[in-house]
Amino acid sequence: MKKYFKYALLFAAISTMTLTTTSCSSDDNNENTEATTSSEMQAIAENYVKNVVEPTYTDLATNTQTLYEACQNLYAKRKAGTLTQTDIDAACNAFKTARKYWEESESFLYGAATDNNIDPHIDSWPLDHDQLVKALNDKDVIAGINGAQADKFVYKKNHDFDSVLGFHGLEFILFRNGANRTLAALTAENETEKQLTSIKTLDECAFAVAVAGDLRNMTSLLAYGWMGDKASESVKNTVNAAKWTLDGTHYAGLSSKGIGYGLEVISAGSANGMFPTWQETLQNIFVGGCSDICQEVYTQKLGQAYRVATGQGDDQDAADYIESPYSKRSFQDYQDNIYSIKNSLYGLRDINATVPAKNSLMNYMQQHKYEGYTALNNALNEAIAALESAKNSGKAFIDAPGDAQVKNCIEKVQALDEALNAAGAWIIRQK
Amino acid sequence: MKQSIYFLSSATVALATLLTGCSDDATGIQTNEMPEANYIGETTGNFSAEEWYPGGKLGTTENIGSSAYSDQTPVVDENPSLFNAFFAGEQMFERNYTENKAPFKGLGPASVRSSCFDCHPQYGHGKWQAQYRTEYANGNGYLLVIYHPNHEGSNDGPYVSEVTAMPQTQASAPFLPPVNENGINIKWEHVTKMESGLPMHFPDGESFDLIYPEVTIAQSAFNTKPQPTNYDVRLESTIGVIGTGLLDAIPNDSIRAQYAKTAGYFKRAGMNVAEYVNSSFWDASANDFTANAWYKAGDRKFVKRFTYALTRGTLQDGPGANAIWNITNVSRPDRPYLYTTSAWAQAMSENPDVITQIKANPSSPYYADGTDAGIADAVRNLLDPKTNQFDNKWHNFTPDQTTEQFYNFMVWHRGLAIPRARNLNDKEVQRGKKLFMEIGCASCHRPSWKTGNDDYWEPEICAGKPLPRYPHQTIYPYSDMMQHKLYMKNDIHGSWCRTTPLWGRGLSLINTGAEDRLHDCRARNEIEAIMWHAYSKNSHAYSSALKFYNLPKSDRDAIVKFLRSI
Repeated sequence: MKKYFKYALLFAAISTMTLTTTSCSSDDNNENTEATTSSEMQAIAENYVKNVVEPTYTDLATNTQTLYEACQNLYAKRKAGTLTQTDIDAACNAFKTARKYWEESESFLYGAATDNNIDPHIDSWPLDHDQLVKALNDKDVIAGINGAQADKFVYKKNHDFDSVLGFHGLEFILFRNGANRTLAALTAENETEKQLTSIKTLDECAFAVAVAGDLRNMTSLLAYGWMGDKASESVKNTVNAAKWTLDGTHYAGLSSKGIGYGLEVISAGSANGMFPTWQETLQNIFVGGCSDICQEVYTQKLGQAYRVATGQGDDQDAADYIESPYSKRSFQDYQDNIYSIKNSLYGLRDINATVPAKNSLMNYMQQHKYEGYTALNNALNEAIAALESAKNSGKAFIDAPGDAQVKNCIEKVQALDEALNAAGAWIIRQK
Repeated sequence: MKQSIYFLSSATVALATLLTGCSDDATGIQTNEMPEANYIGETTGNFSAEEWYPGGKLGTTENIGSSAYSDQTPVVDENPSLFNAFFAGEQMFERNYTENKAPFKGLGPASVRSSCFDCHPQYGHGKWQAQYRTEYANGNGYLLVIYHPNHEGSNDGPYVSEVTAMPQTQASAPFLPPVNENGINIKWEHVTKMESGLPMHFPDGESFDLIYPEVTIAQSAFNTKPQPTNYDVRLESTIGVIGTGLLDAIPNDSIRAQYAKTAGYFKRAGMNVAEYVNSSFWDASANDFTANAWYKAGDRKFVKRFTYALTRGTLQDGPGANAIWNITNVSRPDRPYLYTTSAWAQAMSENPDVITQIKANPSSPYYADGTDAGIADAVRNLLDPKTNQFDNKWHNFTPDQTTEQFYNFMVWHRGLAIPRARNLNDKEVQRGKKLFMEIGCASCHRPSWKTGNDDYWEPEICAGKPLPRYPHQTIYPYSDMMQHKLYMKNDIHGSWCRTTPLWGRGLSLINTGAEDRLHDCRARNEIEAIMWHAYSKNSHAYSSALKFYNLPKSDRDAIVKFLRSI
C-alpha cells in the first residue's frame, strides 16, 4: 500500500462515537469488551488464513502441477510428431486456471511471496525477446532445459534469461495475439514471430516444460511457506524434491520464527505473531494486503500504460507497460486481483458471493456499524463491474490502452483503494 | 488539512476518555486500555506529540504494515502530478533491467545488478547472505569493497583500480564480468572472545553470538588486464532508502553545529579530536569543515551526508541518482560515460572468444571493420570509461534512459516516506527511550533534526520540474550524520562509518522478511548490533555499549523494544 491515511483520524472520531453509543447503552446485549474484540478478530484472521489464503495457494500449487504436466505432454507430442490442437488448448486452459489462482492470491503477497522473492520471480514483465532469442540459441541453455533437472537449471542458471521466466514466459509460448497458439505455429520448424525466427519451436516447447517446472516448484514453496508442515503431501514432496528453492530463502522457506506465515498471522500478541495486536493484523489485511495490490492495479498495471497512451507519461511505448499482452487477458488479471480483495474481505472464495462469511472483515464491519461499510462494498462491486465491462468490450487493454474504459477502471479501482484504507484506519481503532 | 487532523486527534482522545469512563461497574464489564491509535499525535510519557511522526507531518506515512516502506509522503499524496511521477519512478526502482527491452533497458555491458530491487529488497536494508550471488530481487545488498590494505589486516587503503569501486560481477555477452562470482568466497566466523575482554554473555547469563565475514576473491576471478594484486575484500550492504529526501532537507549549518559540538566536547576533555571526529571532514584547529566535507553540485555545495563513507551531499546527485546509472550502466543524456575500467576494457579486447563472437555478428556495435584488430580496437575504446558513448568514432549509442524517466525516479526517491512510530504509549518503550538517552546512545544516534527551507538542488535535466519538498519539519532519524569508529573485527573499509539512521528499522522484518543490521549484515538482531559496539575498548560507543551490557534483561529488552518502535 502506498496510501497516506488522510481519513484516519476522521474515522477515529466516528468509531469512537460509535463505540460510545455501543458501550454506554445499558440495554445493549452486544457490549464489546477487549476479550470479545480479540476473540472476534482472531476468528476473522483464522478464517482468512484457513479459508482464503491457504486454499488459494493449495489450488495454485495443484494447478501449476497440472500446467507442468500439460506442457510435458505438449513437448513430448511435439517431439514425437503427434501434437494436436487439443494438446495445445489443454496447456492454455491449464495456464489460465493456474493464472487465475495466482492473480487471486495477490491481495496477500506480503509474507512468503515477497520475503522469498517468489514474486517477482514468477511474474515479471515485460519480456525481453532478445533474451529469449539468445537463450534458445545457446547450446548450454538447450542442454539445460532438456536435462534431468530442467527446473533446477531454470532456477539456478537464469541469469541471461531472467526476464522470460514464470507466467509471462509461458504466456508467450502458449498464446499470441489474444488466442491460443495454433498447431501450425507450434509444429513449424521455427518461430514465425518477427525477429524470433531463429528460435526452433521444439526448443520453445522444451523451454515451456522447464519454466513450468520452476513455476510449479515456486508455487509449492509459496504454499509451504504459509502452511509449513500442514501443507499437502504433494506440496511437501515438491518442495523436498526441489531443495534448491529452500536454499534460496532466508529462513528455509518459512517465516523468521521457523513457522508458516499462516500461523504467524493467527498468533497476534504472542512471540510467534506477525503483529503485536489483532487490530494491526486485520489492518494489514486491508492495507498491506488488499490496498497494496489495489494501488498497483490503478497506479501501475492500468495507470502507467494509460498515462503514456494519453500523453501524460514519458515517451515510451504504452504497450511495454502492459501485463499479459500475448493472451490479451490483462483485464481478466486485474479483475482477478479485485476478486482476491473480495475474497480477503468476505472471508470466503466465491466471486459471486453477496453474503460474507460469519468470521470475515465485511461481517465485522457490518456488525459493528462501520459507517464506511456500504461505500466499501459498493466500491468493490463497482471496480469488479468496471473491469467486467472492459473485459467484454471487445477492446483488449493492449489494443486500446488510452480508451475511456481504462480511465473508468482506474477511477473505480482508486475509489476502492481509498475505501480500503479508510477501513484499515477504522479497524485499528477498534477495542 | 493536517492541523485539522491534529485537532480531531485531540477530540478523539477526549471522546475515548469519556468512553473509558462509561463502563458499568455493576455489570462487571472491564474498562479497556485505549488502543494505541488513540494516542497518536499526542504527548505520552516521555514522548512528545511530534515523535509519532518521525518524518514530520510532511514526510510520515500512517502505514505501519507490510507495505510501509514503499509509501509515498503526504506531500506526494496531495499533488496529482507528483503522485503520477512517483509511481512511474517506482517502476524504475522495482523492475528488472535488460539490455534492450524498453522501458527498462540499457543493462550492461558490465553491471553490478540488474535492478535496484536486488540490493534494496522491498526498499529495506540488504539481507545477510551466505555467499555473494546476484539474482533478480534476491536481497543480496552487498557491494564488494576491493582495496589495497595499508598493512596486513588493515581496513584502510585505496580501492584497486582494475575494477570499479562498486565491482561488477555481471556482463552482457560476449563480455565476461570484471569479477567472476564463482571466485568469491565468504566465510562467516564466530567471535569467541571480544577484544574488549567482555564475555559472550551478559552478567545474568544470557548469551549472544557475534559473527563476521572473511571474504576472499581468487585472483583468477578478475577478468582484467592487469589483474589486481595485494588486495583485501570487505562487504558493504545497502541500507534502506526511505526518508532520504528528509535527510536532504537538513541545512548545512545544522550539520556544522553538530560537528562543532562533538569536536568541542572532545577538545574540552583534552582528548585527540581527530580520533573521534574524522579529520578528513573536520579541521579541529580551524573549528570548521575541511574542503573535503563539501560536495559540489552545480554552483551549490552541500555537506556530505549520504553513504557510510560520506561521499555524497545532495540526494539529487546522491547514491540513488548515481546508482540508477552506474549499478546497471544505464546511460542517460547527462551520463554519456560507462561505469567501467580501462583494465577490463583491455582484457576484453584481448580475449579471443570475445573477438570471435563479435566477428560472427556484423550487427554488433563492436564489429568495426570486421578484422580482429578493428574489433579489438572498438572493444577497448567503447568499453573504456573515458569514451563518450554518444559521440565517438567507433559507434554512437543513444541514451538508455530518458530525462522524463530520470525525473520520475527522483520524484519517487525524494518522495519516500518514513512510517509513523509505534507503541510510544507503551511503558516499556518509554523506559527504553529513557535508558537509550541515559546510557549515551543518543550522543551519536541523535534523535532529531529540523529541516530548513529545503531549497534542494536538482540537476539540469530536471530543471524546472518540482520535486517533493519538506520545509521546516522536525524529523527523528536517530543519526548525527557524522562518522564514528567501532573497531570491529574485519571492520568497514575506511574504518569510519556514518551513524546509520534508526528510523523505521523496527518494521524491517514485516516489510522485507529480514532484519539484519550493520554495514555487512553481521548483526542478526538489535542485541548483536549493540554488542558489536562493545567489541573493542577503542570503540567510540564502548562506554554506552558497556552500560547496555550491564543492564538487567528487562532494561535491555526495553531498549530493543524502543528501537523497534521508532
